[in-house]
Amino acid sequence: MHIEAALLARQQLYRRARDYLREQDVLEVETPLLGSAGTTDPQIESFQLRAGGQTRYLQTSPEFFLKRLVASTGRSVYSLGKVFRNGETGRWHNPEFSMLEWYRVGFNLQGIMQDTCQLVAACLGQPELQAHRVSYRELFEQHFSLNPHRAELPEVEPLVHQYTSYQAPLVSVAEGLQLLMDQVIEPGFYSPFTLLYHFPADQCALARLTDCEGDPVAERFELYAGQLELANGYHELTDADEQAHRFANDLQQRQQAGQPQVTVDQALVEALRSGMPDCAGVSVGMDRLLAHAMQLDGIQPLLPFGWSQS
Amino acid sequence: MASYSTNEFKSGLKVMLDGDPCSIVENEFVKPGKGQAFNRVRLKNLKTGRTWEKTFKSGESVEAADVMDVEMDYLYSDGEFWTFMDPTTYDQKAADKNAVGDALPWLKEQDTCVVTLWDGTPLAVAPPNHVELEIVETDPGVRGDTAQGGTKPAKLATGAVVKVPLFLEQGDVIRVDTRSAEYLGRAKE
Repeated sequence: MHIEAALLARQQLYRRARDYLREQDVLEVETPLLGSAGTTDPQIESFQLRAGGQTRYLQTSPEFFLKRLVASTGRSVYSLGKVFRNGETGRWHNPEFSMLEWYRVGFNLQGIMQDTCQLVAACLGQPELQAHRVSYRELFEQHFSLNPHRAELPEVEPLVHQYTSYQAPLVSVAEGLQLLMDQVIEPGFYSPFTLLYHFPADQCALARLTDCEGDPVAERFELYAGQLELANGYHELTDADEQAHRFANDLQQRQQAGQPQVTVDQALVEALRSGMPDCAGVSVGMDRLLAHAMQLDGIQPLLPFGWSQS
Repeated sequence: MASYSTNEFKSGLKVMLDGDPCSIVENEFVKPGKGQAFNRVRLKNLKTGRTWEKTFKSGESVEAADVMDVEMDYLYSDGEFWTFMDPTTYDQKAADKNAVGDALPWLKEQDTCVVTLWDGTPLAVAPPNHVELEIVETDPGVRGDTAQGGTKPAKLATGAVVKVPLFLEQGDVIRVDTRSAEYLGRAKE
């Protein structure tokens, strides 16, 4: 493929995404790439640098800044730009990649799922997106007769060793569920698009929790194109105390695992405390969406300057 | 002992697993947006030739295998071992039948092969991609028939049997691709 074709396709993709969001009255904003706080998520590492005697973090997602803007303006906002994740390189990963992230005031989980489908359809030049909707629990019940929200390590570990190529002892249930999802369940995603929702509570990230038939679940979803994870969204957590608690929990996990400590975004906690409107947000990996639109088997051919040439 | 972290994994890397030297065939970095990163790796056991998939947690380390590919000349066989010599050091190595494996029907004395050594012991032998061998047995040649495109089996000096055009005779020397057992042409005299 000529790189010029990739550049033109990216320009068209971005124009369509911006057109859709403008029609929906979502405001485009810019957020800092070098923040004084970083993600605390133990599974994501930021690049850090020193500036003026202070540590700064290349942002792994614009989520903290966008949520602060939603709180201060009450508006639906989006940003389209680069994010950075240290150590993520592969066919579908690059340490810097392009992310479209937006927040819709007044939307719930169903609303943002529908909105995401509409945006992706608009980006692909299709009238609508036919997506198969399924909950995390339904999938595990179908494949393993297992309720993932109540599963214990002694049930999950034998399944992992039987059905996946990971043979070491498991450290957590979450790790086991993820291996089963990646190696057994996702390969069975036969629909062009799948909306997977209601993740286990311990995979909640910035999503609020809700009760679903007696189980606590995260109001979080992911959109897949075939087996490729394209988008990840939440009915957003707006409870400041709960947010502070999750940050502290992440830092404790990092300390136990010997990972770098991270400066917590206290301003986000304060923004939630000042009164955050009910909202939902989602991010789309634009390199992946572009690869899907161009029927490529990875994002590297789309990058004019891949990691090794930059 | 040297070791490799999963972020150094790439195809061709030689590592030790369960006491056996293995080669990485394919390495896929797998990570959901929220969740643990893994490397799904296809490996080939260099002793048994078996390939299989194994998942590692990203960041894990694996011991490096002391495996090297060395160009060596094939000297002779006593029926049990096949002896190769490094043309610069004159160092000789004896490979057993298991190591010689599929290279056996292509081994001609003095030809330069690639010998895979593990801790100095031959693990595998790859013949040259192209070899020149004499036809020792085939049906009589059909004179003038060069355009028809028909073929017949021909047995070569090393024991390999390949398909050759009808006009070739016993005693002719031909060039063969050892990877596909395909006839390439007559050897230039």
